[in-house]
Amino acid sequence: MTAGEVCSTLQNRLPEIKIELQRGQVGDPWILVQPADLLTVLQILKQDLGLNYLACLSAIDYGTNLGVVYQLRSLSTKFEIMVKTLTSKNNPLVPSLTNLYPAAGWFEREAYDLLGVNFQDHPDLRRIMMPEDWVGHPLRKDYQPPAEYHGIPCDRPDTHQLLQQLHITQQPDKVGTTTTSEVGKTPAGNTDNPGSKSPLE
Amino acid sequence: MTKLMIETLGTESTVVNMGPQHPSTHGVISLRLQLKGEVIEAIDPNVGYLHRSIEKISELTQYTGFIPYTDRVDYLSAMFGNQAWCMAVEKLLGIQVPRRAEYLRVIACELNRIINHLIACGTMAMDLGAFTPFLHGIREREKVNDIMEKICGARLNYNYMRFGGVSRDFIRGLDKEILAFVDRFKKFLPEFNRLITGNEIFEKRLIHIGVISPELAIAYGLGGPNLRASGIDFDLRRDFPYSVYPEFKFRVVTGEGYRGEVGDSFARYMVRIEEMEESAKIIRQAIEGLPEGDYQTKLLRNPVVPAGEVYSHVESTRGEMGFYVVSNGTDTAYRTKIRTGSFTAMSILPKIVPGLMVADLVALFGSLDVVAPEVDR
Repeated sequence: MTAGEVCSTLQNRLPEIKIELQRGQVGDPWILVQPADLLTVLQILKQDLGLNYLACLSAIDYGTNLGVVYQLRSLSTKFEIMVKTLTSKNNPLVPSLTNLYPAAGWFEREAYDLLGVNFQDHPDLRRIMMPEDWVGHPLRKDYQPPAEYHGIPCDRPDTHQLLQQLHITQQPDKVGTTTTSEVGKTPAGNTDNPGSKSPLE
Repeated sequence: MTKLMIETLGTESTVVNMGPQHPSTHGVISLRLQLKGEVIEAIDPNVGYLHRSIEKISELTQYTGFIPYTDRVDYLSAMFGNQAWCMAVEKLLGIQVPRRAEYLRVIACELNRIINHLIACGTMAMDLGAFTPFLHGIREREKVNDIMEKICGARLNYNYMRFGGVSRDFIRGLDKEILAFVDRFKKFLPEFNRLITGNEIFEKRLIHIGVISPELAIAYGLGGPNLRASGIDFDLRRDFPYSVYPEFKFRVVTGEGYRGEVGDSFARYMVRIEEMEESAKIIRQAIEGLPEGDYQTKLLRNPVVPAGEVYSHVESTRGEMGFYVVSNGTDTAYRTKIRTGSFTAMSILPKIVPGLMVADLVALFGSLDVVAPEVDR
């Protein structure tokens, strides 16, 4: 079964619900549903089409919207589809799938932690990767890390600036002396030594 | 007097932190246990200690530059991270991988599977107090590591695959060396089985412990050996064929009640042992049928990927490893989500652990073969 067939089956079953089949320039197609219709659609997918395995649940920051993407699979008839729902970034509310697919429990915790999607009726929605008192959702595109966390500075030195400083302070190599850049290298005169050759050659 | 003390004091549950630095948790994972005596009433796995934000790094690194990071998702089976990522980007770019490269990938992946299962079975025995099998496993693993070093130049974080192929071809004589290893390995497995699998104490620690029913395994999204040990005949290599796996004959090992029942810890252990055998079979077929040709397609070093979304998955050693990649038409991914087998295996713990003894939790945890960096990414 392809995503197009699944989409038309769904549309026939639920004529009053808006279901769209979308795809990018390349890659897999997906079925777009509204968050309010999500549970109805997934119930049909699970019970009637046998998509009983939630392979993956991801959340994405699309700028103004947050997307939640479900990879559903049928282990018996061996096909899989991608279902997506979009919610506003200011009030991201999506129904939880924990009753349909218990595996969603932890996936949703991760999506909540890193992207701040609120899952309605989730039994245990708390952070999973970040500490519990962390502020903000790090995978959002507009996320600014805090200056410090319990006295630990979170900012990093500017790598480009650091490299420039290193180049400025590095002295030019003098002929005949071992400089820092040569440490660990084989001395130039020793290349014929068979012991220095890689065993793979 | 003693009786009086118990009556007046009573018993109450205690909360114990198992980890984050506990030898049996295989990495930095903390399990908060609520105990009544030695019986676990509730468990709250506390993960995230090894969160390295690899998904965020993928949004800042070019597609090619992210390949070495995929090694670090699961350091014990780095080849599968490589393959899943490369397959995702190849799907977006529409690249055809040469047949020889696909064969080289399969050989490398199956060798990696042997490495991983040797460690899994060895550490599991070590958790239960048997140290010798671990050393035997490590000894054999070193031999595969030597081969891996000759394949890709690294022993742990391989960084072997490239978009449209692999980084280098086999050096001369390596195919014979791998075949010789496969022959030796055939003798090693019975030796390992004699050493530990038939051991009565080992078996008694595992049978009927942490039984996962097929329904539960599907509901919690378990994958790989953990799913198959519950009696579900499913393998991505066969059921969603990728690479050149359809060209090989191999058996999908499905758990049965070896000594106890389907889905117990011993079944998970046995599935891994038998899978090593199957991997060796695949390697032999791949070496014997290794076609001539290119090992890489010519490709720009930093490809610009058209906008699109893709989900690619491979049968990793710990279940499904999936990369959901969203591209926005530049040379850097817009979003990458990495789905790993250990994550779902951890999420099932609160469901099956209550009622077990603490010592049984160690056996169950070992049989699930969870690797902490893969949970946290």
